[in-house]
Amino acid sequence: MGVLRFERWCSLAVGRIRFKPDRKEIYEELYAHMEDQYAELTAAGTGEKEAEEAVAEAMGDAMETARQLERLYRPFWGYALRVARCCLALALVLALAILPGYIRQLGLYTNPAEEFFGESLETEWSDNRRVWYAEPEARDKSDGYTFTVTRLAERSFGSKAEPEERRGVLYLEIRVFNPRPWAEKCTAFRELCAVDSLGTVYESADYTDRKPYLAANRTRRGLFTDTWVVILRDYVSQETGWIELRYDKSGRHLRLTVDLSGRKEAAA
Amino acid sequence: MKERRKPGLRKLRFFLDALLTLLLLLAVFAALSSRARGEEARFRRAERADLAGPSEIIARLDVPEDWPHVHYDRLLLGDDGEEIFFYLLREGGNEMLYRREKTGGMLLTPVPCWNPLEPAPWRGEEPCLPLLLFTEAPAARAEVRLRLSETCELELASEAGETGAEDGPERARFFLFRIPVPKNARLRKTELLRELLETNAVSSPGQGEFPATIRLYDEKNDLLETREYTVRSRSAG
Repeated sequence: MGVLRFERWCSLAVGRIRFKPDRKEIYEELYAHMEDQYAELTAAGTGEKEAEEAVAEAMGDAMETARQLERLYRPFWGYALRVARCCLALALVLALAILPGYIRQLGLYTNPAEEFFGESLETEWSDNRRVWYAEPEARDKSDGYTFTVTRLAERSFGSKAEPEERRGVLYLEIRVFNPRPWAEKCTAFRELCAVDSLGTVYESADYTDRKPYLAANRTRRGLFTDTWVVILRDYVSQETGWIELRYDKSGRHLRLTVDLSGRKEAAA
Repeated sequence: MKERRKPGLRKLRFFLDALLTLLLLLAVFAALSSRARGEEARFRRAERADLAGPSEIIARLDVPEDWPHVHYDRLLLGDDGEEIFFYLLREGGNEMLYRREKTGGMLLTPVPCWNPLEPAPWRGEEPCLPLLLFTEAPAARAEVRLRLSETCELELASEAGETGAEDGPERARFFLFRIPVPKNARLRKTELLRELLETNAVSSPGQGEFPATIRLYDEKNDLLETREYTVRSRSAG
């Protein structure tokens, strides 16, 4: 077999490709192609010399092929891909070194929905207790945090026949969203207070142990969104038309007003 | 024969790789930015999370060994005019922010604990209970008289060098007092000082309030102001 002749032809054909990895790859491909052609011809009974000549003739002018390959295999994208690969590898190493610790730090945990207020979603009276559930959409913003009251549940105690004597506990689920994952989770719930339509003020349990008061617990923590449950204890349940969560400190005025009027209809 | 990829796909592969790299770098950036570097940056971030501030940092204290049940190593104090911010820093990177509202431009308070639900034992050979006083008008020296019960009054003077003014002006807006609480210190035969401090929620979680008189002096030891004040402890929560 005309090994030297084939090698010389392939070297000439790939000589003008500027991106070296391509040059090597195409050289091997062309050489293998010539070998295959040569093997086919000799297997068909053609003499070695004639087969070599026929293969060389079929491949054409090496210089012309070189010009075509040069046009086809531009070096820019080859080098760009190499750089991109290196960057990707570095980014992967960085991510593997840093992200596991960050994910641990997130400490994601969830509480099932029932734990929102600890009762099933019944609106019927049973044993002098009633649960009322609603999904309001009260919303306000401060310091890049968006506060949304997503659902509420009221558990009231007392006789159905004497509604004015009933007392209740109101659970408000609040989602706090911040689009910056690196921002600290909002902790201002200790400082919230609430006022209802009757003028009753619910101070934070951090400041008072006298009822009625307000307490807040975080129930779910995520990358962008935290969920808190605010509990208002011992309020006059039937006459309260609305309730407003307030934060009025450090020059901020946060307001989350929740309409409770649907409750009476549910009770009726 | 080995199948070779088409050169036209190179562009697509390049853009895919670049996109992946960008996404990974963004994730790394978000992770690295998640913890502020330096105690002041962390304090500022905690303030924002508490929808507060920015306050003026008036002191940074290394917590002495003999402070009881505080469980933190550094204390940053911030003042925004209405409230005082206590930023508690513990070895290992944990931190906590407390805030107390001023009354009439003043605040006299026991130092906050790391976990108010778990009172820890007194530490040190001669343990003390630290009290902090913040004033609106600066003074050179302060004295407080605490009326813990009908029969017990404590007179305390602010400690020199603990005013929070590091080589600064002679007057300061922050003073530290220490109530020495030796073991089994008795005020009377049946009254333990520690118990009295606990009853008034000075040294333990709970709700308590007691009257105090605050006196502020200038550099010449002339009385600047006398104020009747009620020390209120915030309940655990």
